[in-house]
Amino acid sequence: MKHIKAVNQKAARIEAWVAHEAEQTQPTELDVVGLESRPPHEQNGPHFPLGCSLVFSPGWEADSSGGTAGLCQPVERDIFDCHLSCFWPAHVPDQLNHSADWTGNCASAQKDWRKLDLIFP
Amino acid sequence: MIIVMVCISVTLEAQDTALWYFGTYTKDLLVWDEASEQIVDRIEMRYNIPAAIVVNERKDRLYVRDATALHIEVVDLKKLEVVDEFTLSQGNVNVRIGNFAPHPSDQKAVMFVKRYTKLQDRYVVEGPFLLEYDLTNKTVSDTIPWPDGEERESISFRYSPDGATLYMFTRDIIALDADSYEEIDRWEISTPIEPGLGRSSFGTVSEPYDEEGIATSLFRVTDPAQNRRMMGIARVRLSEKEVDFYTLGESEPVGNFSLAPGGEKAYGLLSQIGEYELWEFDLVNRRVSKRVPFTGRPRMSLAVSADGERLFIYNAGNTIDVYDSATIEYLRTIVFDEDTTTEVVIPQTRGFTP
Repeated sequence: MKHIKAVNQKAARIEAWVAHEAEQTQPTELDVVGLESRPPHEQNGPHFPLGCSLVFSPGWEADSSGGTAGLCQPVERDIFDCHLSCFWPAHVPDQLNHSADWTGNCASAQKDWRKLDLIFP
Repeated sequence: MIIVMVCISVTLEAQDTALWYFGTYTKDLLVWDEASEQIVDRIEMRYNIPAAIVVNERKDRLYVRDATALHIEVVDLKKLEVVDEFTLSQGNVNVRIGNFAPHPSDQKAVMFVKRYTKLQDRYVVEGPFLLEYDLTNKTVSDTIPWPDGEERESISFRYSPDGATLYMFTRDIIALDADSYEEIDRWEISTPIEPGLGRSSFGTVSEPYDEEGIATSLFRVTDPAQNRRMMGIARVRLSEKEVDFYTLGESEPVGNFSLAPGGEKAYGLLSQIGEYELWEFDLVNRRVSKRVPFTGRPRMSLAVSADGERLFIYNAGNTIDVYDSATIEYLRTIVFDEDTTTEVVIPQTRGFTP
């Protein structure tokens, strides 16, 4: 709803200038986004500033396109890659500091997933 | 005796193959022979989970980074064993290595690192840094200034085949003198490569079956007149800053471009949720020659065999699905005992040697 209107020539010129600028601006440039500085080739895709293992935030975990349908199927195919680089909708042990050998007893997640250790922080 | 030798020479005639080196979620690096589709060797690493592999210019050694990013091991491909290793970490200081590019002489390398110092009550994180590392004396020999003075959370780089230039891939491609690290050239790919075109994207890394110095890749460009994204094929000669390209049609979500030996065909994967197609590109007649739906999955990589007769679909898991490249017909699935992390493919021609 428009609450004000131009009543003199100068205000009318400002209104016309604002309208012209809005026409020239791409819709994507008007988006309000947070915590992001995405590279040009990802302009139209989702951007995740934090990996899903770094914060416990159910619902945040998503695939690289922003949904969950792009996650690996069966999920066992993804679970080890999540150990290194996270895209799987669950928390897996941290390989950098605490559980570097988590996959040691289970070389193939799809075949041997029962051998995976449970990790209690 | 002569008859026997003739028979052997017929059956062992020259055959194109490739050796694939797969990192796994164990300590082993698998050596997979593409012709026999068998694992022909295992290289036991010193650290768990070989997670990133870089092959040197002479293709006789691998630099393998483990999953913790603390160690790089050197694998001699003739001996098929780890012959050296290095780390920048010591005591309570962990230095995690990101990107790594060895100089063609194998005397030095450039690496992207961050330093994490564990104190009694906290970690102190420093960096990132771009370092030159002396592979012979195992010392940091120089710090490389950030391109354009802009520190970055990630950057890719590599040496030219003659070792004289270090390319930094930022918004533009910046060529640095490999000794002084002074800028000697710049390819401003962040701006349109030709007047009237929109922003374009293309690859600069050569495929295993590319001509030397050429990188063939999918090319995308915005058509400013119609405001639509177009897709095509580009042949890029990085050293000359040249892009030869042609468009094939409107951009579609095709990726995993893989050039076939001989350079006349290439393949790609169209991947959308629940919809997967194998595409064949006819590079001679400049057209998409086949689009075949198949049972795919969300994460796939694609490669063409050295004889051009098979296509391999793999990644995320312990399998390689084999397809006939002529008919795009599924043939079989090869199953490993281990999930794989990453791989390098080194083509080779085998001949009969008496």
